[in-house]
Amino acid sequence: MTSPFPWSEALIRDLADKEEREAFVADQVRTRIALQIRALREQPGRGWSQTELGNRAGKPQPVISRLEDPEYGKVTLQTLLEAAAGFELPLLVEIVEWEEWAIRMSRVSAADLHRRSYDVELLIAEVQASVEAARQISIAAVAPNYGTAVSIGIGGAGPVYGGILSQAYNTYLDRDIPSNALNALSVYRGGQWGGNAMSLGNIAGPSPSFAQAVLTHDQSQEIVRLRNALTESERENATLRAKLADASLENPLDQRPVPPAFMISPHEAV
Amino acid sequence: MPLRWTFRSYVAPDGTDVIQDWFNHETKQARGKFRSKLRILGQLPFAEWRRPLFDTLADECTGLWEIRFDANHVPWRPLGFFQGLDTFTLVICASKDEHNWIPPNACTLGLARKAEILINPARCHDLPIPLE
Repeated sequence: MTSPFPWSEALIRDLADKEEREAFVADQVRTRIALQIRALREQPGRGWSQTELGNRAGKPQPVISRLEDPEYGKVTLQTLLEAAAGFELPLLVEIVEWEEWAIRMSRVSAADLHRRSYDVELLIAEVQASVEAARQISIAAVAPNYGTAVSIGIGGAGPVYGGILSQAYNTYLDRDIPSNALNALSVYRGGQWGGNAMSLGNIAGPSPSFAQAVLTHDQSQEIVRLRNALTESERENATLRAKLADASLENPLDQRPVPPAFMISPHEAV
Repeated sequence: MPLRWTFRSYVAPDGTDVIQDWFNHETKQARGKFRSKLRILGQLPFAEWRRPLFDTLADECTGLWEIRFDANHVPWRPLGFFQGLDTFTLVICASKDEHNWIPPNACTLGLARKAEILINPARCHDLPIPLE
């Protein structure tokens, strides 16, 4: 899904000048990283001084002070890596599309820049919670009336596995599912919701090694087969509706031949 | 995400927007950084308007606040004041040479313009420099 570009046409045109745009971009980047280092240092739960962050990052306090100064223009990648490591956080340096950049740069308040340090217990608890949610949550899309009714259940959130499964799911079912909202996938087949459930759930199952979760070939083929069945069912429904709409078929009894005893001869009619 | 803050600028008696006039005559480096700083401040809650981006002035400059950035080795200090909870009105784009203001009467001039605006609100309008 594409987010709206967060700039007006006027701003985009103003920044058409390369030199001015480069100054703008550099200042946004430098200021944001400076604000983030301070925000992380002052984040509730840390409340560190520059000296304390320096100790954790293996840097003297003046280096931290310079990192928090957006006008200091000589920050190195190594220093940023070490500062991030001081917070037990990863660093992401990436050249991106303008849209993504503009959206990221529009989030600069301290609350927007707070991040959680690496915490084994917390991360494992999140993985376990997402797997449990996948077992319990399902959203039904029940096919109507006739033919092979197919309903689809979708598991809950899972930041570790979600993207992969969501991509696979969208590829095979052409459904618009948020990329972060899928951890396990269950497909139910039957005349009504919950009937004859055939579960493909727990595909992503808990994995202490954070192994990648993918759909197997057989599972993918089964999803394709069910998708085709649903399409066929919808096509049959459409055909039946079209026939019902035909006045001549509104009452099948009207189609019976009229018994001779009730027929009026041309002579009688005259 | 729309900006939290609105920026306004002083309009001289002859109709000149002094902030836009300064902007139009400045280097591209200064223009890019000025726009960037306003955009960042515009996204921050009031509690986060502080150094190194922003500061409160004292002594002969009491009643004014400064936005802080350097461009081409010039420490620029656009001065302004708050109107309500979401508006910052710029009255002059001063700079500093060591500890001296350029122009030397920057604060006096800024405070006089502030007084003009408070008496006659028509002496300022929304800053005509796109920020979002």
